[in-house]
Amino acid sequence: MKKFLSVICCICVLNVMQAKKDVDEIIVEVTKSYAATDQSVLDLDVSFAQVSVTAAAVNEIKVVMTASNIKADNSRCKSAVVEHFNKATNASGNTVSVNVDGVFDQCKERNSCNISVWVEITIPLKASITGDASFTNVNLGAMQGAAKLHVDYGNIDSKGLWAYDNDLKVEFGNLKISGTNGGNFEAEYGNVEIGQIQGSAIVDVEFGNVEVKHVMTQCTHLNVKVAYGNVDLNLDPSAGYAFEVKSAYGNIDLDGDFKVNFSEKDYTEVFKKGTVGNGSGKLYVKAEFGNIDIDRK
Amino acid sequence: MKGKLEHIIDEAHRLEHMPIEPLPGHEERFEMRLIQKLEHQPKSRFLSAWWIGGAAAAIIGIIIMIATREVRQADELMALNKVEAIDEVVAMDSVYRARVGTRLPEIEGNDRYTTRILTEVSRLEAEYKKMEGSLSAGADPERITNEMVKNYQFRIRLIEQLRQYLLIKEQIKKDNEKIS
Repeated sequence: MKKFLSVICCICVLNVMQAKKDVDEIIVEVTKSYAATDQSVLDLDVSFAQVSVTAAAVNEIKVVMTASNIKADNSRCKSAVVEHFNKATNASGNTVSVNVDGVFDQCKERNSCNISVWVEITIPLKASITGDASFTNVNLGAMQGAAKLHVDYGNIDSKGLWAYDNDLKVEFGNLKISGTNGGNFEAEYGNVEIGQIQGSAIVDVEFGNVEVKHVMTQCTHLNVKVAYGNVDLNLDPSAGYAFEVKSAYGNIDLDGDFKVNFSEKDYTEVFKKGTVGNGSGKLYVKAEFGNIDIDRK
Repeated sequence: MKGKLEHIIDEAHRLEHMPIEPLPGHEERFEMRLIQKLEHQPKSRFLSAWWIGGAAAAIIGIIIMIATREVRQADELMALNKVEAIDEVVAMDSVYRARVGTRLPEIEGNDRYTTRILTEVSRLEAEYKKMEGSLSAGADPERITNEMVKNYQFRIRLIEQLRQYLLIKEQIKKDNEKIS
């Protein structure tokens, strides 16, 4: 009887193993590290992936590339992805390039292999980032180096860009920044949301809205231009600007101690010029086919 | 009296310890029962255990087969859905193209805003074509089809925006005519 039960158990285990082999998916992970300093540059060229960059007190750039949802029995796909990852990074001078582009091409049996790709990068605190990404969401941790990125069909979400010369552009996606010391921020077909600006900045958006929750006193020059979208700015009570605000096919709402020196309105456009606070900074806001709402209180 | 009582006791004692002779042929009957028992009892245990075990294995096997098949079918369905999604996108394309087509004649004249919006519509169409290419190349169908849908939504929004602009323009024209 015992022997018999053992045989049954073996049969069951074999069945389960066979079934597991059929449905199991594996994860491929490749890690690369390069010595780096605060002057190092991370150059990204990524598509169809999720990118996450963390700045930390380290003296290396570490890149962890992960692909999941690879069928366990698809060894060709697995080895192709590993090979792709192994060739995806290289260092030249103070630049580390990460080129995770076209991982899908590595698996010919695409219908049976719906790969998800993550790229997790750690950089030194003051190292900067450049590059392009498409069909990719980029998450940036708080960083002191400049971020100069162009993302198509994806979002950029930053926890803090504390350089002064950031340059971010998103097309067909949203740009969200918790806080920044300034730079150039552009979006097309997407919204820009900034928690706080404490440096000079240019925000240029087409077919999307702009919201800045807190414009700090340190932001002495702010230029916001929006086409086909609304602008919502909240100025710090201690911030002061000479302002020029113009809206075509929209309204302007200034809430606070704004002193309007000049105002012009016709069928389609509204223009207001004046000062707010001590008037030391410069504030230009222009919207076409959108409303402008500025608060200072 | 005493003697009678002793006799009864002795008689009872004698009967109790008297060897009872079994009936003749008892050994053969015992042997036969034993053989029957040996033959019958283990055989029935053996059979039932095999039957139960076999049935259990068969059931487990069937369950695993069904589960595996379900997973395979889900995969196949997913692959099929991708193809259906592409077909759907193509169908959607013709519907929205017709919609956009019917709205374009509404546009009168040509100024900075209309030119810009129409340029953007053309740009979005070009982007859409690029995505079609990526889709047929097999890259992340879910993400691309989502973006294709958004592309159409943007185009519709642009046309709506243009329509609103033209309505405002028309209103201004009427107002100016009244004033003059």
